Amino acid sequence: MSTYSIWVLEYCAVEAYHKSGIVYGAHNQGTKKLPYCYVVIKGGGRTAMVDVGYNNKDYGRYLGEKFGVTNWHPPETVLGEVDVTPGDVDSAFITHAHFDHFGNVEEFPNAHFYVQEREIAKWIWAMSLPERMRWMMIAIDPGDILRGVELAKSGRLTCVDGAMENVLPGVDLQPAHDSHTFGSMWVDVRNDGLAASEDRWILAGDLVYDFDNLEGDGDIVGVETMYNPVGLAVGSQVNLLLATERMMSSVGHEARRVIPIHEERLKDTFPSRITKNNLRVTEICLGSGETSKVA
Amino acid sequence: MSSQSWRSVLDHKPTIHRPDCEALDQQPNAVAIPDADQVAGQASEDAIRYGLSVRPHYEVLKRSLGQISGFLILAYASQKSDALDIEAVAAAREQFFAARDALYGLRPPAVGAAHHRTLLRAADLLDGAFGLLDHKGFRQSEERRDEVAQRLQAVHRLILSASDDRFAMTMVDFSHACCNCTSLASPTQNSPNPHSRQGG
Repeated sequence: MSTYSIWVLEYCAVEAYHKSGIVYGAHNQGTKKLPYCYVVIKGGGRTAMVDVGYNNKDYGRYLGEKFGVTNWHPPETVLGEVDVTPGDVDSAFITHAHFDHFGNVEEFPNAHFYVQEREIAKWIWAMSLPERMRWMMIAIDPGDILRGVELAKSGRLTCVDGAMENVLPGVDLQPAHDSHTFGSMWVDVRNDGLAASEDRWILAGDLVYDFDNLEGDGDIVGVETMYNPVGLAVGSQVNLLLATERMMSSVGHEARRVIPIHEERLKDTFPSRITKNNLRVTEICLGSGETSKVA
Repeated sequence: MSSQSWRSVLDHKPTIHRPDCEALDQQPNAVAIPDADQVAGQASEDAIRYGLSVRPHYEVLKRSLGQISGFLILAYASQKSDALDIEAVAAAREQFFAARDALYGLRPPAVGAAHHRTLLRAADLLDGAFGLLDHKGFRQSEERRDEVAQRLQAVHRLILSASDDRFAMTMVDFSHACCNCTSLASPTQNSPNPHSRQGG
């Protein structure tokens, strides 16, 4: 009996993202579509999100345009596809502080937010470094950090120090420090509520961009598949690989249980549909008593 | 801090606002540095020279905004009593003071005067915020934390209004690997301030 339903909701996309950003070392291999998504976890009287996207107004619009983002739609529209409103969301787990994950907190007025403390502390440190080291500040908007202040001020932000079990019943936060960012984390949903869960879903944030990171072609080293880390890492590809192994180990190496939110091919593994706004809704699982939103 | 820096602090005593001062809520207009279509000859040269010279100081103000915001988040939300790293605060403050002094030492041409004034206002507000951050008992004082937060909101508006992507003065650095923008036509070709409020 599953507690939670989980949907991956596309809210916009980059039509032509360079593949080397997705898979380390994939140089000169062209581009591919990179959907921007967030995740809704609903059940047991709770509604949570993994990341909240960005707000496509004012500066957010400029950022989106610079990143080549198209077809952006607001949370009210996107969440409406699974009969959720932004006001229903009571918890939001921010996997890392990049603008497309942490850039729309104001749209969720009743949510309590969770972010790794290290993510904040290390960005502060990075901003103290000389200009010649500014690469470490990529994709960080100080304005988003300022919005975090308002959350913290109103008691709606928890800085998590490492792992946090049962942030919701059966939902854990797991750190992956110095990987995609300084304080990235993933969300572990034990959908049967058991410590040794046999119904576990891993919501990987940007620790995994797509299936190629989990099951890349292993021909070159004589194996069927191998991990290929994400191209973009402020930390290291080694730490990304180690995090991937931890995630995969926790689900018995069943790759379909590790959910990469930027993966267009989720539709090949899970039931999904395209909305009238040309955005994909992917249904990872259904909790008890919930009806399908993609049927 | 060197004696020269202290003199500079005294010479340029920051503007002090009460937490409820309307000045902190003002929505500044964009203060673009004129481009070649708007000014010609020497003025155009001056604008370019000014833009290039002020960019490093803009960068530090932007970072200071992010750093103090981060300190505030930790002060409000960390579960650790020592979350406010004294060395990190000192490093941020030192970096800021150097930029602020340099900004005050800059003699902008007429075409850059409004832009320069905007950055000075932001620097003054940040100066006050750092002062509050230094205060003993900052973490326990909700009033002080709130005042810093309000100052930061004003600083954010000022920095946005002074942003200009022709000179790489943008809130997010697009010059490196993660973004996808280099092959795209800029949507802001006619609007050098990337953060000017258009269409909301």
